Amino acid sequence: MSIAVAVDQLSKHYADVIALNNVSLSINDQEFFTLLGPSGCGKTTLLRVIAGFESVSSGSVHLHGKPIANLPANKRSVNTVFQHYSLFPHMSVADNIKFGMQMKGSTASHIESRCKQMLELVQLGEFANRKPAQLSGGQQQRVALARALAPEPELLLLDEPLSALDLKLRQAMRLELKQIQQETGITFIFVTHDQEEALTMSDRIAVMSNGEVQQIGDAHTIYEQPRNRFVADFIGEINMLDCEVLSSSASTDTQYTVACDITGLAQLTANADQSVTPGTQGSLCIRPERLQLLAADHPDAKLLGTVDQLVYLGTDTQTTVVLNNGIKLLVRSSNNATQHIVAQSGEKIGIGIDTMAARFLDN
Amino acid sequence: MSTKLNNIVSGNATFHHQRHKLLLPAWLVICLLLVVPVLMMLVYSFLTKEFRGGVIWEFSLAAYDQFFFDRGLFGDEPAKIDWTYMRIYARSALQAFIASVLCLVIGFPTAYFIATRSVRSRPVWVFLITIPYWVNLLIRTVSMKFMIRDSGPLNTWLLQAGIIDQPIHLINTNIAVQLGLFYSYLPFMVLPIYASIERYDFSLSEAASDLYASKWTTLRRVILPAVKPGIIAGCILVFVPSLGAFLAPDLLGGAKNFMIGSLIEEQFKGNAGNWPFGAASSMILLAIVMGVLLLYARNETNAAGSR
Repeated sequence: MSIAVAVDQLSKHYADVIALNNVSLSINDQEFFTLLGPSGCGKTTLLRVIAGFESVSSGSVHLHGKPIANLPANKRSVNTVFQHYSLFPHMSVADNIKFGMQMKGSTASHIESRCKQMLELVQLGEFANRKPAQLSGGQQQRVALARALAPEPELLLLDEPLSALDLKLRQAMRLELKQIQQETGITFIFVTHDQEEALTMSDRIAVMSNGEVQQIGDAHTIYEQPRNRFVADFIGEINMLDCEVLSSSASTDTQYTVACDITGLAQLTANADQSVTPGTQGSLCIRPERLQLLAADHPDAKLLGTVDQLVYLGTDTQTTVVLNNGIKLLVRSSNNATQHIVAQSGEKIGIGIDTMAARFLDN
Repeated sequence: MSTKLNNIVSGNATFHHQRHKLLLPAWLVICLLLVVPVLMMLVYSFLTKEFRGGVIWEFSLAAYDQFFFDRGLFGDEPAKIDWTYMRIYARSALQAFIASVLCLVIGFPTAYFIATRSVRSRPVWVFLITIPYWVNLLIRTVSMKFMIRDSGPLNTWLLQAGIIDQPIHLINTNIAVQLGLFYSYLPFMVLPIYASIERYDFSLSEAASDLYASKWTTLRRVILPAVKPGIIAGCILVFVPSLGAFLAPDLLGGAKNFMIGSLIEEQFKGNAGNWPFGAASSMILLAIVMGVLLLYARNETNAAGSR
């Protein structure tokens, strides 16, 4: 698989702010790659650097092997779907879509047929002569996508394109975007702060914070094997229990099993990416759905506590359990009839842990 | 839609009606100082002239006849079309057109510059643009006359700097009139254009450059269409007053570079004037301006309709 975009030791400073700090990543050809992070993490800056709207302070960007960091935006074979679409208001839908191809100097017949093809791709055939203001948000979003895809760029950038849409439309567009990406085979870089969006669409995700890449991996890896506390905490919900490492041993070539002492409560095992020196302080991290409510005297109950709060979430119930040392744990149990345990607030309860899913992260 | 909005804004029809009374003072002022005088001029243009100024209350088309036709010194020869006044109008229109173009060429980059400053410094720049307008137009025009005369500061500096070895003769030329018009009306171009560029969404420029457009193409195909209303407003605001301008042509242009304003003023001055002719000339000017504006308005409605 060839590499479409290579970002190497890229930094971007504004007067007194470091927006990007030594970012390196490579994106494969035809990949749906997502930059995920909270606002201000540098994801949009990175996108704008790749698009050519921002200069770099140091480092390089290569597109299919060619250095592009010093090329102006209009000389890069990269197109962008803007957050607020930025459609040309005085041009019809068709003229918007044709604009990029005209600027590239494509032949008139190619422009016509490609425009028709794009309108079909985004299912807007009958809207060709409308002005953007006469379209709904979702339709404008499709025009923006068609306009950016029409000149057949080597790379498509999408800057939070779904954030202005309502929930139902957003969910439908996720599937559509993914499908269009697979049909066209163009490399997508998608920026979002919405983890659900990132998890459902991406081939790989780069989680960013404070101008740095925290972890790169597919949705499963990012969720199940977060590399540090930021990633663990940012993606989904997670319980973190302070602990001290007792011993560690290799379980496979890349995974280690760590025995931890949860201060004053229990001794549990967890996974780690590397061997950890005994005595290290850290956290045992586990997702709420990997915990199980059990009777207090059940043999598999590893921790004991008191039920504090129950929240019914439709498919799941989320139970807050206060452990004997006062720490709160979230437990998420599926509401299917066979496994459903009805707990009562104030009830003593046991908690079972899927130790394969527990992870040790140092502080 | 707009009625619905009005109802929401005003609560109900009674309040809506009451609020119209707020306009009464403005209506009064406009009627007394604009509508009545214009109607008076319209009536005067169809009256007979009194030789010492003023009018005789007797219907006559003589004023319009004099504007378009020549009937010889004693008015007894067959009518020939007389181009004298129409030429003055044409020259005035040309001057006003050049002034508008000049103001646009200088005003657009200025407005663009101001609109792209930080939000905090923009008011300062707008303020700087308006500062010269704290001084009366007459005084500004007279000082320009002083600046550009043959022995004035401009020529003195250029001579001393060795850029020229003979004073440039500017005063009483078309160029001087042009300078005066341009200087008088530049802010009327800058401010409306600034207002539209300020509302312009600069991410459209980014989108254009993302789609391979050069800076020049972006200006031509994306920025200019978006700020067109401001440009047209600016052009109207410069062209219309320039067409009837009186001070700049009178003080800077001298007798040879007569414009409409001076022609009309002359008709009402002292005992030598011809009130009906002055009134007729004013009406013709008004008709031209209204015609141009109506044409523009109709174009705009058509453009909006075809959307």
